[in-house]
Amino acid sequence: MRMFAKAFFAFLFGSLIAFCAENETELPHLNIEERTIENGLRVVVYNTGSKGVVCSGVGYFVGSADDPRDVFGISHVLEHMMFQGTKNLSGADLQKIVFVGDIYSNAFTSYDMTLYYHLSNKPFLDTALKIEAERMQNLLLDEKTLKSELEVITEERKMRTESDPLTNFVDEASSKCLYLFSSYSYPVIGYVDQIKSCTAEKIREHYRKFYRPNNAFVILVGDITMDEALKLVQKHFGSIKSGTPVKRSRVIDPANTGLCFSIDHSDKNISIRKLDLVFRVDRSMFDNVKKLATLEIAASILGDGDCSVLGHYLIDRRHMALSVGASVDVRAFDKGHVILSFVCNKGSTGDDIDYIASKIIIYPFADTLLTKELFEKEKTKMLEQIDILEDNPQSAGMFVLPYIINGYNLQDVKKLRSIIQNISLDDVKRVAKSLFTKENRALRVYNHPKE
Amino acid sequence: MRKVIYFAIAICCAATAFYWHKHSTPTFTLDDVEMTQAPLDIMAVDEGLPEKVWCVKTNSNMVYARLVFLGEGQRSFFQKPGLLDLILAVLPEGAGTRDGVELKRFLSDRSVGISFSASRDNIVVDVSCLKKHFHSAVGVLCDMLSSAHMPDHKIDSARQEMILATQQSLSYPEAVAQESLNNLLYASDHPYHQSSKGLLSALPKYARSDLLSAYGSIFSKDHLRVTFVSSLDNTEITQALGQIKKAVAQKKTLPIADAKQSVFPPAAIKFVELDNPQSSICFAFPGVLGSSTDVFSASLASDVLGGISFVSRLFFQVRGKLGLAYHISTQTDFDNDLFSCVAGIAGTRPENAEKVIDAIKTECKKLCSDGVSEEGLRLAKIRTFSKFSFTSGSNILNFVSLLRRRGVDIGAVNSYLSNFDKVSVSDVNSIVRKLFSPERMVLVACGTPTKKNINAENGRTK
Repeated sequence: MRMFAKAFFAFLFGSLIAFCAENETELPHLNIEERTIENGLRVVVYNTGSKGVVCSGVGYFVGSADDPRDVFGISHVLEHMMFQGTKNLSGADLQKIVFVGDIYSNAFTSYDMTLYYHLSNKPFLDTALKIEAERMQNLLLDEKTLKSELEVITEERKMRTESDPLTNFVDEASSKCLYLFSSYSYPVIGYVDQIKSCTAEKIREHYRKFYRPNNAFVILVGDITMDEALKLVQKHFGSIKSGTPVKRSRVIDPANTGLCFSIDHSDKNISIRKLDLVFRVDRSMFDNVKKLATLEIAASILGDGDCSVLGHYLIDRRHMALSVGASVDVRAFDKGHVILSFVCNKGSTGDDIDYIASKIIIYPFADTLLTKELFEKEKTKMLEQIDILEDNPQSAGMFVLPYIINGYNLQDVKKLRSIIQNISLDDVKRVAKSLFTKENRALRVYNHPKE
Repeated sequence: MRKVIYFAIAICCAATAFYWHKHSTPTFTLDDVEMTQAPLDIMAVDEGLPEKVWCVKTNSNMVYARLVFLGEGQRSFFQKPGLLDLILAVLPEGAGTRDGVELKRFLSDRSVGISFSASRDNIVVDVSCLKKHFHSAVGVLCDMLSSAHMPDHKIDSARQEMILATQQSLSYPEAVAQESLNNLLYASDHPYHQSSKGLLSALPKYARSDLLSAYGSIFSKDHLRVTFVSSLDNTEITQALGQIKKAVAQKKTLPIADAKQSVFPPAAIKFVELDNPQSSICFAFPGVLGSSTDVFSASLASDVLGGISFVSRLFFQVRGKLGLAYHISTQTDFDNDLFSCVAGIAGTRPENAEKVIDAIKTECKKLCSDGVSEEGLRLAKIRTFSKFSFTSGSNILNFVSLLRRRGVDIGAVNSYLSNFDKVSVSDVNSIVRKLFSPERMVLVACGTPTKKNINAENGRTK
């Protein structure tokens, strides 16, 4: 009798599990695979079916947030110098091959990563990877070229930061407010005096420390299979020895300081009134693929574009804003943020929008304005966006990249469609409720004309 | 005998070491790059429009379509600056049975992109969507083409956005330099002439009736050219075109003003003051028409001068060697009805502006006197093939649209790039001497004045 009871409850329990599993929808996986070769180099392949074209990149897990404190901007300087020549390839020849032979080629440095990428016709892929392997191990630095390139970077800083009356130094000030002690508070490009103090020796040291196969990944997107990729990667990178494992030490900010900063920037060269409201997002709210997708759904429904809840209210009903936007900014080693942006219409100020948007839309959003209809539409849109991205290997590559940089499990990214489909309205409400509160507001930035 | 053996061993070792060094040191070359372009599966279909509809067949899930209304661009609204842009901006604010909120939500929910833009000569309408939403997208498009609501308050918002954007642009040296350059290239009565001042003065005066009146005469069937890049079958395309033709059937035809090709103006160098830590330098040389046989040599010449990052003459000299600018480049502006040029731009510190101008002149002089090398031409040709490679459907659409603009026959689309391969060094050098002489250059530098800039050629002009 006891055995029969046990069997019966086991059967009940099993049926319950099966029932729950059946109600989880399984959608087609993204065609993503990952391997690691012997020297620690990760190989990520995303086969999107694009014919004859591959977007390839070599990324290093080093960014401006890893820069030594006396040389902020060194990772970016190194990125520039990677185009100036190696032991076996002069700068002129490297530039010729890359900027003539590739459909498009570029590189960028962010807080947590530096990436060198190529959009190539498939036959050129071998050359592209050969160049990256050469750059990974044989960079040549000479003081004369470095001096010239430091001038170029100073120009770049002037162009990107100092000459734009709208952003000017406001973006740098914002970072200082959002990250008090962490290296995320410093600009990727660094500061002029520190840029100019970069020496070849300091850069060499930085290069030797971080540019190792066991601190890097190769990503290939487009008309490529894992077998093809492994063959090429082994051919060009297989003989490169792995270095000492890299320890990235970071100062992490306190989880929630409770501080809310406000930046008021007025300038005679500013014509528009632009308001940004920034909400802090704890790491626990985006530490896996499902949570990140949930966060993105919440932010998008609330504030991304004319059709969002904020857009509908402020643009269409109250005519207070000309545009609204929302973006999610996550970091590999610290908290992230959601930024809601508004451009004020004639007759409205940042204070007006802040008061109305916060009181009527943002704070009550989770409880009263986040509807099932909006949620279902947003999920469908997100799923279709993946299909659209796959039409272009470069877009598809840029889509996958943040998951790699921020350390997400690519097996989950593969199942992204199913993960999105199985997010519930309650999941989104929970996130929105804890995120969009007065206490969680970290920063308000208001750019406006000098009256 | 022993000595002979030792000598032979030494020779073998040396030969082995040499072979090993040669084959273990990687070599890098562009010699293997094939100058080919993937052939397009393209056909022309007669759908009762002034021109046949070009359809490129792909296997993609995405549909890209471009409707070009020839001659209906900015130059046909030359006396009413900003009116056309205002009309196009409010088209998504309600059409047919949907008000603005419903229409924008309809498009957003399906990730359908419908964009309207006015070039100097034409109105361009681009549609992009997943194939499953194409039919819905066409329905909305037809409403926007024929029965837009244009509510007053949305006209006001769009107007406000345009005014603010224009005012803001006046703080950026690049925008100010570009406008000044345009004023040198096009006289005030030229149909391509645009001025921020004129725009800011005209925009507040337009009433809804002005917009409706102009709207009634654009999107005319008589001016329509259509291109598709998709996996749609002929029936689906015919059905879509039937809807579009019906939508634009009742439109009055905008009279397209007859205008002559303009002559490139005399050389000039002008300085414009602007309080900004950066200076912007915009310059132009004469160009050739996109439809002319010189377009191949001229495009390659432009690439050699400034069209290829790092490799072009200007980039190599001004950024690479002198470290004076983060960016400097040239690009061809050949595909207009009334004017063509090669345009260039550079950004630098005000104290370096004169050095950059001198460097541009020096490189142009050198190019004219020394000519293009075989290697330089070869690189420019390889670059042409690589930049026109097809990475997505929208890429294909841009390429095919460009060729239609240039009057290329559909049968010549897949062999178009081979014309670049046929260009010789002497062809390019002949064009270089005709176009890139520093004595023909028109240039504007915009930024904070320094003593040196004040003494620039032709003096200081506001």
